[in-house]
Amino acid sequence: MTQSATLRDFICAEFAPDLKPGELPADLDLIDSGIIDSLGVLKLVAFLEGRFDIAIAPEELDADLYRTIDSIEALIAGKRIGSAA
Amino acid sequence: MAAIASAAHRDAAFETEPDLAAELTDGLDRWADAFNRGWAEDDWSGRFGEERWRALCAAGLTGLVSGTAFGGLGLSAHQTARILERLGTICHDGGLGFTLASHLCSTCIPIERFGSSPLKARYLHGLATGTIVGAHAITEPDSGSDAFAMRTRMLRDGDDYVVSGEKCFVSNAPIAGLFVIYARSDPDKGALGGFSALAVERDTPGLSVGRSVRKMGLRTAPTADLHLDDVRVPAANLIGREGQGYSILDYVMKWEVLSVFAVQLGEMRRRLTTAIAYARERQQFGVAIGSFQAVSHRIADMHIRIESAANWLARVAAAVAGGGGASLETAAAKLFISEANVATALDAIRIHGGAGYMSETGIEAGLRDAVGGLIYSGTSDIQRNRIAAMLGL
Repeated sequence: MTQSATLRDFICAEFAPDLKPGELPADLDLIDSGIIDSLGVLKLVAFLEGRFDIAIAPEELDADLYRTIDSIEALIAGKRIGSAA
Repeated sequence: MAAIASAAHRDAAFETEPDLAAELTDGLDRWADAFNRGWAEDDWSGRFGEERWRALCAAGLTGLVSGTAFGGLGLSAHQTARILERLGTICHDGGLGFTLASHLCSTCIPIERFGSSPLKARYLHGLATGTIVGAHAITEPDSGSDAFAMRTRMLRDGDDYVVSGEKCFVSNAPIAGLFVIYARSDPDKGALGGFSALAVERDTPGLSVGRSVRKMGLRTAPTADLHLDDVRVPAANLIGREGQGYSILDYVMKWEVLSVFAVQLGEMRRRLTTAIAYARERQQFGVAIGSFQAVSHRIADMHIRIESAANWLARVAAAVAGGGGASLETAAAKLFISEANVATALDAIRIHGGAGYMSETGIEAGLRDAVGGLIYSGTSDIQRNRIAAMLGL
């Protein structure tokens, strides 16, 4: 399963059970649309750390980083580049 | 020494850290008299012990988490927890330990981690030496567990923010020189991005501190409400970025659980030691009461709770040190330790019988102090909600 599909599956299963993972637009604002709230971000962070083996710093608990599928994927990619360097 | 280090699941970072914390921890014992002098009378009258606070400052405890460049010790989460646990074992004044933990978490931690260089330069030295006492203001009359329902607002006006609102149950407020105020900076956003943290000096015009409120326990830890009436604060006093209040508070709460409950872990260890000694010494029906299973089992339960609490606290320390989310661990640790503290405090009273119920022995104060832990830093019910949510429910 791709990273994007893993992410979509988690978000739909946890926060939007009425949506199908494939129907979740990559640029949909997950926060403004009410899909992810403040507690949801904490759940998402725990998922990302566990599933993708990354550490998310306190400063990175920033709404903009988790606003869309695209931005979350960018965060993961940035972490992986950082850890590979 | 019974410290977190004795917990079964120590992590590698804790094992390899320099011995500065160990030296400071062991050296605390010589301050015991100074930390305890007059506490029982002050607990009865609800008085903050300025002399005991000065002893904490002299012992270096107000500078545990502030950087060395600012007169602090710059200790890690593990080291800080070890020292605060030791403080809890030797200091009978639960309010004093609570005041110190509040001081460290409310102001030193967020300014050290998120503050600008000028903000650190301006406040951290005073906070580290304890000449400035720190406090933070979160709770409001209509926002307790629902913290981000807060109405206190901060509006940008030129080079300042103008802050207005009401805060209640602010620990350290009557003695604080610096407040970290959490307020709504964007009315159109929710918890994520809509709140910010601001360092506000006590003598800022428009800020007024209410009278000290009386409490069931932690009576030597002064608490009061704040009234903010168009308080004009330099924008340079913003901690982190505008809208970062949620992430700052989340980080602060992890430290608060670590610090406040490290002290409580030490208190529980002291309580256990005292209970064992009493159970060996106290004779009834011709034998030591510790020979009765009703007593010895109670003590066994106390021990298990304490070691479990130590393990949970070590997990929070590892999470804070590692920079990870650790929301589940923090919630579980807070829930478990606070409830263990109440249970061991009640067990201690039962073991001591009538003597435990009398204020003169100082044992009942432990229960009154412990009950607060079920409420502050997120109630037990809220922690259960968070744990369940993190488990996918």
